Amino acid sequence: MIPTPPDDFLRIMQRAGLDPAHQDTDGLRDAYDRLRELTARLRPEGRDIGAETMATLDPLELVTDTAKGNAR
Amino acid sequence: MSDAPLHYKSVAELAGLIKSRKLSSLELTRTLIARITSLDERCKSFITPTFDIAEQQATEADAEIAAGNYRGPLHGIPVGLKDAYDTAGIRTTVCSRVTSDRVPATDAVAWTKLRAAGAVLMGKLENTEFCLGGPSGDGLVPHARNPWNPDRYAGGSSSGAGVALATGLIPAAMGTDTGGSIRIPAAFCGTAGIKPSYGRVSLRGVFPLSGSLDHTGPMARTSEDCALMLDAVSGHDPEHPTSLNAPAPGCAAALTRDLKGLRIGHVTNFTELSAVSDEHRAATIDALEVYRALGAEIIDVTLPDLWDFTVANSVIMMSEAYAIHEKWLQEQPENYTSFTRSRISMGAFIRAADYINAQKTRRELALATAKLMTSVDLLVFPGMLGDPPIAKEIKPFYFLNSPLITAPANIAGVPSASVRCGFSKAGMPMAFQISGAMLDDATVLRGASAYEQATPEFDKRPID
Repeated sequence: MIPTPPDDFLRIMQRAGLDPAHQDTDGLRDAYDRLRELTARLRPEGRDIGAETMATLDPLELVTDTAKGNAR
Repeated sequence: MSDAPLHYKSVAELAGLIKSRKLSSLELTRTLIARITSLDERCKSFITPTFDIAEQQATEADAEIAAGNYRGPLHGIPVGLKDAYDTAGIRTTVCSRVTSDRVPATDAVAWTKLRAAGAVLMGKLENTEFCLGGPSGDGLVPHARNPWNPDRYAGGSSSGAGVALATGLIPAAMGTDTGGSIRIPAAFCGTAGIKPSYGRVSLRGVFPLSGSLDHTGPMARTSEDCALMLDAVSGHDPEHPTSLNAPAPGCAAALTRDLKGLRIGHVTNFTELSAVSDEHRAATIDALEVYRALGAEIIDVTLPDLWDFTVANSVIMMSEAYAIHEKWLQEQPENYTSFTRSRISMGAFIRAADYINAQKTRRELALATAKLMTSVDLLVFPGMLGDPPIAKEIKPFYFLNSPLITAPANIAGVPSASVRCGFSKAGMPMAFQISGAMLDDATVLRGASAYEQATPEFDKRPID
């Protein structure tokens, strides 16, 4: 059982070394909450995980494949 | 030849005058220096003018042309560079206090190519900090003012270029575009600009924001001029990992007014978004009628949900920007503007899984776009959702609450231009976007230029 963290947002902020004295913490927290909602769109049902490779991260390969119209 | 004053003539017109020696590059350069000196106090479009260099380069251009060594349509033409482009020996700050003393030792490749074509450097242009910030009012320099209404945003991040072009301070410039930073200021200022195909123009020597989404490209007052610029700066750069080793067909030679047989896809699910204002929707539909009259076939098409493009773009951009700025953000956060600091800091909160999923989503969206482009030659949809917002009312994370209609072309890597198409009731310029297949920048500019030639009534200027 993983214990509930005290506050994900503050924990990440501290780990990243973001100084609250120089941040709009409330604004960042709102954006963080909104971003978590939005990133759910990036995990669609039915994506074929077996077809995924790290090559998908290569922008040049992506462009080349796009130009070719490759199915994957 | 148009009856426009010298400072509003196009590159193509100026090139004809310079080639025939009816106008010297030095005369043109001095005319524009006087105009910049007179107007830029209120426009705020230049961060570092380079007038001495410009006069020297113009003098050299005139001597070469007089000796019969005319290099081509950019020979003797004054241009500006966004302050993200490295210029050897000239301060290049990307408009940040973090890099306010930065003086590169070498030139960006794009500037090297423009210089080889004979262009004259008028100076470095304002941009929003690190090509990401906004009009937060706490920057190294004031943000450039929209000449149609100084209370409204000029667009970013290539804001100085948009303003300088709209006000006749320069005829051409180079901008960068990671999520719309060429097309947004072009649309909001009523000028032209193209985000070329990914990898077509080298990024070497341009300060990065997000390497897998960054593009460099031309901005001007006409799409024909963008074609002349793009032809000069295109080409494979074996020394930069994102440069595409593929043929880049010439754009200027492809410009024709006749569009018979061209298939234009109207992206109806973008035009019909509730976030698009009625005026901008109507302007886009009116533009399609112009295309129909020019002989194009209009076909209704759809792309995936604009929010999918927007989220993938934002996640990738903020992650990659954070990777660049992490150390500086920890060591000197006070040197960033509030907008840039917040936006880049958000990258610390994006998980590796989200970044990878964003890249996989990007691939799916790019492939969907490529598939659609097998059935049409061009895509048309609104350039912006509405009029430029009031600058003081812009929030750092507005792009998480509103879809970004310029993001699809960055995600798919395809060429996309902003084309002015009239004015709103508030008197602000409106624009549509025209996109094409990967590496078919020539057809995009052919379509954009044909529309401009057919609608000269939209060629208004904010200042005489």
